[in-house]
Amino acid sequence: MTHEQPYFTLQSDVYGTLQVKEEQVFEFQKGIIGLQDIQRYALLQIENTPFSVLHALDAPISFILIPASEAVDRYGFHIDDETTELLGVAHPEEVVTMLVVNIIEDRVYVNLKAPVLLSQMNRSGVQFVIHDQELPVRYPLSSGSKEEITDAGA
Amino acid sequence: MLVLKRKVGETIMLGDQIEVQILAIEGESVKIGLTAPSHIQILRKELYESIRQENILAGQPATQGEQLIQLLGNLKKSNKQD
Repeated sequence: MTHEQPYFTLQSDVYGTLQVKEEQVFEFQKGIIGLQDIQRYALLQIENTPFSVLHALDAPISFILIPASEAVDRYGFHIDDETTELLGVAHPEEVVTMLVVNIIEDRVYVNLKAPVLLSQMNRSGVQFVIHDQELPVRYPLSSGSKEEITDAGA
Repeated sequence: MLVLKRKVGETIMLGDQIEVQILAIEGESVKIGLTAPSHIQILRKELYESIRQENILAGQPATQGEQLIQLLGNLKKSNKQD
C-alpha cells in the first residue's frame, strides 16, 4: 500500500540534476532578504553531513544551510507573533532554526544575524532578523568543535 | 523621489495597507511608526544591505556542488573528533 512519492527534477547550475519530492518544497512568502521575488525553494539534505541545500525552484539561486544546533551553542532569540503567524505555527518551539552558510576562499561562515526559520509541518520558511542582540552576519564556523558565541573582543 | 511635508502625529499611506506615521522629532532624529502586512519586511537600510549582500554571495556559489560538498564533508569529520 505504499505510494511512490511523486517527485520532479530540478536542473541546477551548481549541483546538476536534483530529484525533488513535493514534501521537500518550502514556501517563503517574504522570500530571502534581497531576493524577495523568489518564494519557492526545495530543501535537500546533503548525505553524511549536517548540511542541506535550499534550492530555488525557479531561479539559479541555492543556499547551504546548517541547523543552528549543529553549528553554535547558546544561540537563542525571541520570535515575534507576526513570524509564527507567517509560518503558520502555534508555538515558536515548532520552528526549526537553520543558519545560512557562506563559503569564502574555502573558509566556512554562518550568518547569525538572519537565520532561516522553517516549519516542517506547513513547509513554510522565512529569513528572520534577530533584533534583540548584536550578532554578526559572517561568523566563522571553525573546523574544530562547536563554538560558543562570545564577543570576539577585537 | 516624492517629497512630502508632514507634522508630528500625521501619517502617509503607501498603497492600501502600509502606514508611515511621524511619531516624534528629537533633535536630528525622526521617530517613525510603521504598520504593514506581515509579509512586508521592514528593516533599517544599513542592516538590509549587509544581509542582502551576504545572501547574494551565499546564494550564488562560485564553486561547483561536488567541491562544496567535499569541503563541508571534511569540516564534519574534523568536528567529529570531539
